[in-house]
Amino acid sequence: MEAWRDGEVRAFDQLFDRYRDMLYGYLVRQLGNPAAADEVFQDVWAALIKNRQGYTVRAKFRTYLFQIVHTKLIDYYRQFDRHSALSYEQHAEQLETASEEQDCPAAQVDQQGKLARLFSLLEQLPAVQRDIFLMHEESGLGLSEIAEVMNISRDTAKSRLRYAVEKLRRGMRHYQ
Amino acid sequence: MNSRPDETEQALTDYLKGDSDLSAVYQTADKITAPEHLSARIKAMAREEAAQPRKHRNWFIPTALAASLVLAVIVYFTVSRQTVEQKVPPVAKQEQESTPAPQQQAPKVADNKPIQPKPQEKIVVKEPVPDHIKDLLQNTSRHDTADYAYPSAKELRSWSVQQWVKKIKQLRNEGKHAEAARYITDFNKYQPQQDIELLLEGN
Repeated sequence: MEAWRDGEVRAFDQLFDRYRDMLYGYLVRQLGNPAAADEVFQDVWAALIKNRQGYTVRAKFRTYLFQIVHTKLIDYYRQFDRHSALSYEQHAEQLETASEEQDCPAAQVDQQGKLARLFSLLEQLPAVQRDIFLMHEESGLGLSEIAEVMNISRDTAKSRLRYAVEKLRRGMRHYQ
Repeated sequence: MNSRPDETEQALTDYLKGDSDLSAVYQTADKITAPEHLSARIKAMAREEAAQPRKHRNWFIPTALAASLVLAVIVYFTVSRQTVEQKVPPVAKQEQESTPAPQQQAPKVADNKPIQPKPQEKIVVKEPVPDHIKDLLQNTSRHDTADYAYPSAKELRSWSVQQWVKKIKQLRNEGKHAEAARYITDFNKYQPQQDIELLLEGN
């Protein structure tokens, strides 16, 4: 990123190639809509390109990138999805009841069935909990980094992830 | 939640370690790749940005100009004031101090006329003139300094001692002392072995 800040275009290409699929996959799964993912994806990289001269090394690049992503995601939700935007502004405890388990018969136990069920459960999670789960799964960010990205305490991040994991586990128990 | 708190905590710990069925299932999903046209557009955007010269922040240039202007004005006024203070002769300063200054009295504002600032008086600095210059000026008539053809250096170099003495005597007789002095100076330059005063007395 420092090389790109100093004007090396090849450095940007390398950076982009390293993170593009991970970031795009995360956005598609978070937003559930490829067109919306395209828009936010482009906004994120445009912001990174535009602000290159103001970049200072304060954290890992991955954390810096996801801070931009987080901001753009909230902007998107505020514009197009008030319900999801609200989930970022409410406390995790209030979101706890948002996704009550619907017991489904364990009809399909093959891998594709498990995957479909997992994504279905992910969609039902409040956006903020889904965001934390996906950030961990897609980018490998740890709890402290997620807390930094979302500008919340580590305990809050842990609490939100606990709710997400617990709901997914409960939803998947007939599929193990 | 139906699960016990210990079980939930343990599930989270396992999940964070990567030892979880959830992660195992999730990671079997096909990887999503970013569309090529989108990637190309973003890379082009980066190239365009890198090709532009580094921009200063919007406020940088006007602020720098304003700061330079203010500095220049301050320096100008400071230097001007110091120069004027240095040029005021001590006598003038003493007079200013000893003379009661009616201007310093508060102006009457009864007639509500706007108070006009007094234009600053010009200070003419007279430096003392050395005595030898004074003598020279007194002994030099306007006619004396009028245009006359002074011989060239080449010509003067060819003059004999007698010519020099004759010319200088002639000028002195005519009262053209400044011109005579100039010839004497040149005589000493071109005839350094001769003593002009002795020669003038001798003749």
